[in-house]
Amino acid sequence: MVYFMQLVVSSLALGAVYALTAIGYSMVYGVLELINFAHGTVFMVGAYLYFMIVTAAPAIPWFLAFLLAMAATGLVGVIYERLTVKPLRDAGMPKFAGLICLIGVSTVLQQLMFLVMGSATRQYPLFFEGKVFRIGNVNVNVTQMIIIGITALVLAILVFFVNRTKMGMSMRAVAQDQNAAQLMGMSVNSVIAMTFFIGSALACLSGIMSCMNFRGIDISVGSTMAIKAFTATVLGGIGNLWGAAVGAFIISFAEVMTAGYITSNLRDFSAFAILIVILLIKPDGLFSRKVQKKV
Amino acid sequence: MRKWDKKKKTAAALAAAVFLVIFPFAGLSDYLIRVAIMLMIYIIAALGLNMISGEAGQVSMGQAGFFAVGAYGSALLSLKLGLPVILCMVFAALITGLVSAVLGILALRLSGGYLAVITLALSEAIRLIIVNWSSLTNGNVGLVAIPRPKLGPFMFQGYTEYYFMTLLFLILAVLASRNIIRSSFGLRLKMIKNDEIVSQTSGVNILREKVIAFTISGLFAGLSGALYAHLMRFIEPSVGANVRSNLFLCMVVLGGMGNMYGTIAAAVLLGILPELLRGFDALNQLIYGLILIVAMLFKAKNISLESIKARLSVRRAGKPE
Repeated sequence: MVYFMQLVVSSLALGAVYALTAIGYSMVYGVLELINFAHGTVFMVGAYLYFMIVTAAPAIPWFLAFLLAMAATGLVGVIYERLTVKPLRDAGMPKFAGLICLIGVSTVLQQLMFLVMGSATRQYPLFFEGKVFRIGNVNVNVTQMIIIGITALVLAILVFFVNRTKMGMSMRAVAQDQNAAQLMGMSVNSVIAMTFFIGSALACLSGIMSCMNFRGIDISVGSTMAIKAFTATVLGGIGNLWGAAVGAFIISFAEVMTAGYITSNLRDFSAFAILIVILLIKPDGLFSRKVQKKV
Repeated sequence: MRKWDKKKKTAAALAAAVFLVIFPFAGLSDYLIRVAIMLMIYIIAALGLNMISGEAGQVSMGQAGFFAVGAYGSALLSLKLGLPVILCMVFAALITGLVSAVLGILALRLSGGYLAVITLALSEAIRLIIVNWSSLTNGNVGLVAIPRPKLGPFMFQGYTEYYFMTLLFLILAVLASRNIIRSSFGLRLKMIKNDEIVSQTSGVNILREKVIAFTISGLFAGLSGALYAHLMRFIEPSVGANVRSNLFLCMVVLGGMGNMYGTIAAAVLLGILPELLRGFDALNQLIYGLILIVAMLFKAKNISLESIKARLSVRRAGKPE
């Protein structure tokens, strides 16, 4: 039982990290119907930006470093959207064109970071190194607690933002019908830019916490994350933010439990197996809205 | 006009044929011939993907998974059973076709982003099976000493022989692909791409046509993977890495989604680029990414130019003469 609870804590921490990245995917897909191929790389870039900030200024308070890194990563998101996705959108190119363009963006970002940081694995700066709580018989390390806490907080803010603020409402409107939103006087372009900003900032937060969780960072952290987080997004129904979060926890539980009780070799396999099975039973993901196709 | 087009086409085909035949005898290094063989191998896989993603409009991001099935299938058949290599390649292609038919029946009930992700997940699952099934596939170590083909007493030791064998397969693939696209089946695929509901109401069995297209796509990928395995003589699970799937998809999209000759041209371009960029070392991937972006942006410009032209011609037509 203690072992099981220990695994639950690990799954929650892992799921929290997946959820933040998955929501970024889901937001962009909701607004543009585009799989954001650069998102996993942005996750890595964000984690490195935090690393750079903290190494450059070790005295900086952690929350300030978090916010700075998130803002910088958000800007990266806005910039690549403006330079690559927007011109294609304006030209009315099919979605696949944007997809390929984003593969290019992903490669470029990855290589730029490689030129700056090299391919070495580095130790990631932690706060409260090594401290462990005991809840009953279960050991919870402080990093995991912080990850779960911050994610819960951010999700709560996001719920408020999307449902209760004007900007959140405009985002939902653009996701529902871009043309109608434009006719109602919304600036679709700035809503899309904002979506990329928020998504990228969340990916950065997720990247920082993921690297803290695994205690290290290297240039390839984004690629596995990208597949897992996107799997989570699809599992919940693409474009549905809360579905993405739930999907993330399903994937993380499947992974951790497979590794804990069966064998860690099958860890990654279990995530894909679940995705395949669920999509076969419910092809639009778990929490999709029914959309009637019209001729 | 039509006649001239046809003449021009024949001339181009002839020139290409002559070029392809004398190419290996031009005294070029083995390296260049090897690059040419790789290009042909990529074209075959890209032509396959063009069938499902280009002609039928169903984006698959798992072509490399089927490439890996073909590579491992052919390598294992020749290593474990000792069958003649060319037979192994054909069998491997058929096996891959069968695998993709089964997976296609499951996956093709989805479309759009969902299909993209489930094909990605399937190809990752294939790669993980290859990694974990060590007793058969030797896991992460990979398979070594994969034999070269032999035809009777004739050993395909050098690259020149391999070049002509690959060329033969390529010609077959191009002809098959062209004829399939021109057939009524190809028309049905185009119809599905344009409007699924309309094609359904016109009596097209959407799932069936998609599965057939996916099977053909897998068949081509399998053949391509088999050719790759016996060329390299060494394969590891990363042959099925999703980077390669992305590469194939880039070829199809850059080629114009459903433009066979465009796909071939894009495959040559994207296949040859890494070789050209070799001198730039660390920068080559960066330049590759930039070229990908610029190419897409140029395509965007092109389309807007066309639309401007169309608008102008409408205005001109509207004017009283």
